[in-house]
Amino acid sequence: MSQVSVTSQRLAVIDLERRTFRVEQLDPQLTSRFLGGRGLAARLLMQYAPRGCDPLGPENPLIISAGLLTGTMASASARVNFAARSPLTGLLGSSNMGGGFGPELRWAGFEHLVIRGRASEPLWLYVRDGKVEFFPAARLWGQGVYQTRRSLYAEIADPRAQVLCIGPAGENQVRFACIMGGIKSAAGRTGMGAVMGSKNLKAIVCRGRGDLPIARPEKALEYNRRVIGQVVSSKVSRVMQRWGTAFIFDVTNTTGLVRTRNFQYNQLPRSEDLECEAMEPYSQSMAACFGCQVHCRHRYRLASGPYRDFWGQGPEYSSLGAFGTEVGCRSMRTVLECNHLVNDLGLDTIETGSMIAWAMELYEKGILTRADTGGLELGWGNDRAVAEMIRQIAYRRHLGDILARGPLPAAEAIGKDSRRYLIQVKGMSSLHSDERPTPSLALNIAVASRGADHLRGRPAIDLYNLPLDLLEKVYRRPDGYDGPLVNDWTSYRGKARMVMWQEILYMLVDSLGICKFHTVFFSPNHPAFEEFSQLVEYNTGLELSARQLWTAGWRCCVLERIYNLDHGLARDDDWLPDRFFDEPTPLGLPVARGKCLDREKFAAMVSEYYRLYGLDRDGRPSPELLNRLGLSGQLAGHAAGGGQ
Amino acid sequence: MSAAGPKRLHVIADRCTGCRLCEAVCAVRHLGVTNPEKARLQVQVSEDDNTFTPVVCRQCKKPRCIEACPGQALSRDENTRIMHLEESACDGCGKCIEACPFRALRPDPGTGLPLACDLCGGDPCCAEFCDAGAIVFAAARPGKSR
Repeated sequence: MSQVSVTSQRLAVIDLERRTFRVEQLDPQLTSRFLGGRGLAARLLMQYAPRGCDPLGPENPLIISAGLLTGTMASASARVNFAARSPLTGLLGSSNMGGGFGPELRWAGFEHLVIRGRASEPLWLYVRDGKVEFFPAARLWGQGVYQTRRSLYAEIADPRAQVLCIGPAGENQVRFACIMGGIKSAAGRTGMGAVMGSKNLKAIVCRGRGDLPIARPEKALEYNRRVIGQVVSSKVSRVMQRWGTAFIFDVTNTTGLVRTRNFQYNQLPRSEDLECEAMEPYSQSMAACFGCQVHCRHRYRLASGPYRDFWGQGPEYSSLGAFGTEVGCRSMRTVLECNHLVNDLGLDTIETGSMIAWAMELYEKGILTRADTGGLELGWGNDRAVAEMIRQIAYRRHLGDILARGPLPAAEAIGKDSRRYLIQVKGMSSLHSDERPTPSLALNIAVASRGADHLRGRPAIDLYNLPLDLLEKVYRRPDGYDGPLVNDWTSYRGKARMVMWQEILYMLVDSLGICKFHTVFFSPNHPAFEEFSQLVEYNTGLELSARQLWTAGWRCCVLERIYNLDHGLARDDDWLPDRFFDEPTPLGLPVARGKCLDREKFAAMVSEYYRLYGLDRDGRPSPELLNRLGLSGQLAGHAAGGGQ
Repeated sequence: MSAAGPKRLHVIADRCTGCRLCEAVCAVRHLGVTNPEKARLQVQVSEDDNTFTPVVCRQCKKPRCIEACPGQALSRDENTRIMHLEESACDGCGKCIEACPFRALRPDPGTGLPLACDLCGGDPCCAEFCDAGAIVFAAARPGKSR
């Protein structure tokens, strides 16, 4: 087993064709420059993925990376990142999950797995105590996630192992298939499950008994207790402990910030059954990811239906849109059943709901008919049709086979006027939030590195109309920004800074392996750069100031952009569909009603965002920026030979 | 309520969220590492079966582990019920581990010696970090409802 240290990271390069692996120790410099998790994964992707490789070909690596603090007991340090070239967008594939896999990977002796090639027959991997073993998975192939887990646990007879697996959607290479960890945790976005399926890799079981040393144990315990207190003392954490992310629905729907019937409305009236209190009859209690005191996941079980024998966890806020407002359904029961379905079949909730909602609008417009849907009546609010469509997508039947290709290829296959109804950026669909009334949130999804995505840079606290001095306390640190900041969420002014700041912060927590609910996402009082600097020092011994962490996050964000530029990203891709500019919101409170985005102001905001980052007018990094971040030579220069 | 005896660890399993922070902090406090295998307590988690059960040393009135120790390596302070393992006297025979009716005692996978709970010297960090209140350090078992 290789030397254990918190900052010198251990990597296993796994060759599925030869069924071999080799262990490497990464240059410790990479840790201070790219940290771990998402940031370092982008760096490894540059190294191991040949530029322009087929996302579903054997040369596209699947890179699994624990965060720098994952498993250390620092505030909710559970997360593990997945990276590859995305089969959904052709750009950066990047997704992370909580649960228990990330910490287990480190106890098993690795921070990173780089999985290369394609197995000649279905396999599962057993990663334990510094070794990787290869086992046949033919009898698991075709099983859903829940059954796969039961089969594997029966086989290994070790309840403390952690299991990652794909469902039928990943096997069938649905372009937005996810990787599941546990029954609920998912690397949902950008189709990492399809990459795993393309490799004939059904599952990865992980079990570790090794030490993860903590640099300054007494200080780490004391400081971590303080940071947990800082997080759980906020009102929003208390609410999440009780209701999970579903709590958001009531306020966003009432305001009129919820994508409804694809993109026709911004509110679903008479949707009381989607509000968080409607979980009461189903929820037994709450569950948490490793080390987390916010425990935002409901544990539920349905009394009837195909999943009556299975426990479920969730639903997230995203599911209330995907299987609620977007498709015009009003039933928590439907949301919970669809939540089971996507988790068991291994589909990204957000993409699945968006694709079905889009198909429903096409059906309403007559662009799709029953001849296309296999006889399915794809009308708004048809709960049964939503569940059936989820199955069609996972098993690639009828229209499901087209939707399974993702937004842009599906629009190309359907043709006619279908593309203009898509709500996507860079080929990836958006959460069910409606950003027409909120310029800052709209900028976030337009520029996010993996396509329309709220978890890459959403300044959610912009919606609170916070006192300006509090907003300044948050957004001027740690680099002393002195440009405009405005605490009015309908404004375009100062919002580029908020998005950039959140992008760098979220890059930091994604690289440390910490959950966004433990940073400035829903609360301005949660930990940010200063606290993370202390957590890194006490847990790893690495002394990085808040300012240095800011620069590291910035570096990693620019690196992700470089990866995208190398794969054809242009300024036009940092943009939103026409509907955001042409169709005013019809419903909601006065502050959200009758709103759409202004093209000129929005373009100016994108330019300001580029300028703040040090990018040129086309969104490309200037030589000065590359030099400053130590990234010279990265642009158009990565891994021509496919790594070492 | 009867007169308070020494403080003990109490488990209220239906409050457990399965986060296993108790396992992490326990090993950090005692050994300066995270490694659930070296924690003095364990949470049995199965999402699939919906079981979330902390298994901790209960500071039993009649400690079978101490009775079973042939070399008198295990002892405790009867006032505080803080256990002590005299490592030089322990040959890792495992009799104490077999004797624990709650299977709360386990061997250190490195040394083979029992991972005896010493209540962190009187302020157990598992309870300190369990905001859900599934592990509580108190003289009497708290009521179930929150």
